[in-house]
Amino acid sequence: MASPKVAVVGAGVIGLSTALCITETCPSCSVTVLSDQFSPNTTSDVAAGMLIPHTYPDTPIHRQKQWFKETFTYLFDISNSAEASEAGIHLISGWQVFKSTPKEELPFWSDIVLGFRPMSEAELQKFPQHRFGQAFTTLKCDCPPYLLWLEKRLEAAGTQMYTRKVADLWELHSEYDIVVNCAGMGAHQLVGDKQLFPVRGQVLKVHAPWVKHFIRDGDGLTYIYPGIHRVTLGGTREKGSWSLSPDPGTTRDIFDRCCSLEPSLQGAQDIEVKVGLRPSRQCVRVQREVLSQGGVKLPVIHNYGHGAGGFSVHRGTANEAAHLVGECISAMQGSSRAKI
Amino acid sequence: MRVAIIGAGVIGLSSALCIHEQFHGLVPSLELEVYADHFTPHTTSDGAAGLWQPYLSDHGNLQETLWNKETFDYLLGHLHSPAAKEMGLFLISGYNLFTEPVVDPSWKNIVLGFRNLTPKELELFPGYSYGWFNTALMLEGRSYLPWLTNRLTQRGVKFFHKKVESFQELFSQGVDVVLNCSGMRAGDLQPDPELQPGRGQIIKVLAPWVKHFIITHNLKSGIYNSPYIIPGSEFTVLGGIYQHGNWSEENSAKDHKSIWDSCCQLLPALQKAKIVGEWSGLRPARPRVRLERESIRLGSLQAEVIHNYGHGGFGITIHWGCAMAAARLFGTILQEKKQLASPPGPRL
Repeated sequence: MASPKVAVVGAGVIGLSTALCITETCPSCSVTVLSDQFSPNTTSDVAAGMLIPHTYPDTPIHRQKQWFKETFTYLFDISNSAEASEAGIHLISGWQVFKSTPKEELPFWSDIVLGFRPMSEAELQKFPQHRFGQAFTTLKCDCPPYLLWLEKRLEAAGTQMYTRKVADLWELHSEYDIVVNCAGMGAHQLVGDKQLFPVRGQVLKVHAPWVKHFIRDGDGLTYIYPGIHRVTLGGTREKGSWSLSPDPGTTRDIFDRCCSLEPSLQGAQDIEVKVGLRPSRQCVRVQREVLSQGGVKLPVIHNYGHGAGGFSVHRGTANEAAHLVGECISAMQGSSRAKI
Repeated sequence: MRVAIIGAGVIGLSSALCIHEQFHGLVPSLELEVYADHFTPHTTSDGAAGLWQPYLSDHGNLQETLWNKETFDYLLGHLHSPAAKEMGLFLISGYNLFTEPVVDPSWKNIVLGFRNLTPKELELFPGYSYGWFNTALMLEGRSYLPWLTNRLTQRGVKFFHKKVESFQELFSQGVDVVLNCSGMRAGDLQPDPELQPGRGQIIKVLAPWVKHFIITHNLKSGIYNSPYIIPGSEFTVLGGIYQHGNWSEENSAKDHKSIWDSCCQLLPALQKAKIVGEWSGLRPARPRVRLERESIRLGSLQAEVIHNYGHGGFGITIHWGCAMAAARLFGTILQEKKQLASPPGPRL
């Protein structure tokens, strides 16, 4: 197989970064990205893009840590380069605060982010309702810039990108040798994965340029994430809700909760409300599968189900998926040699 | 009791506010007047980035360290007030970078979360092998000075746009006490060879992805002669010029290049930042702040001057502690003039 044709379904952070990894590990591959949505209309565009991992119950911790470490290292290098602003990657410091001391005071990722330490008494004074906290410095991927930067890198690598709704992976078998499924929430329909469920998140994006730190309540429900131009205020975690319509009562509630953590937000301007469905699963599905229909085989690599933690592990899972694509190609080349 | 404040920078306006807050209830006849030839946005305080950070060493001036602390604590107390945004007050964290280990600064326990940098953090700053991380405050002059002006106006303080040529000029008009907050030009009112300009130049850029201050130090070149980057609420300040004895307020192309090149080396992404302005100003530098009373004999009268100038590159950092100290000196004057039965309030 001289030039394997690979289709990547999905153009959110997972689809684009996976496509990019494939062009890097398999330069002879011809990669095409197919998606019904591109930035600024993907789920990734709603997310704040903070590198604070979500813990997947059924994925081994060492694997999650490896994914996070690879992602953090990759983005750390970009943030330190001249491309940082174009790629939308920046360092940000702040606090994760808890109303009661958490069982686990040292999360698995504490040695990967920068300067992780418990907050001092003086620092906690800023949060009168909270008794314990962690201070650290991490990275943020602003979207659309990060997705647009990935698209630019893909174009430079010769990747084609098409707006197309793929209703069934089999549609692609005649044009492509390998399909990579990064459809996020779309995988529910596309591959009928009943283990995939939405966790609805509503957020506000506001203009408050004096807010220079992130603040996150350890319960994960209230957070303030300053981006390049706007601050993301959140949020909600509504399991099983498919609604993409902003709810005004929720908007008020999010704003109030965030103002109680950071009173100066009362002066925030230009409030924009957005909704995204976190494509959630007990474990991220990064897996090879060979679909079979009437004697025809279609190799598929899945890379979806990142839920609340997509940005935090995207590069790590993209690397793993690209590796699986490589294995797939070797297998196909092996079997085609066998045929000769 | 007429009190004239000379100077409408951060020192003049805050001293005026502090005195009015403490004494207007006790001295019914108290009238405050601010005289200046420059008002916001044209004062030295307006050009400063507004970062609360003292110099590396207090040179044994423990009193200044105390005034710095008083200012920090005062501002921290206002952080959650509705006025914070209008004051231009917000928290900011960042890095101080060195090429060799240094002793901890006098202010390490004043700021929040002070710690040394980890090896991984130092990877961000090639060429620097040691440093600190801490959380401090920004108080932007462009917002703070108008806020002070509004508070003073509400309190009935009068403002006069004029250059005062001498203390006598005010006393002959019937002013009882003069607060000399004239900053760089204090020498015009009374010669002071210890007061020298510490010329600075800054470039203002749009770089909203920068969320931390980064201040480098070159122990041989001296304070602020090494690149620094301070993100504000509307633009980011790039600097790194401190020229002792240089009175020029013109922007220098050579200094521009030096600031630009050194800051871009520190943060490569700055190369893409849009330049939106440039400014030069004179830090009113002195070996120590002059904060003291002076009694001047004018014929049969004894006129009182409270000097409060010479805050160098740490005016915003120290302003409230100095305002309180000036207010205490004023209280003593009132006592002596029998305007007060006893000194007001607790002494710090």
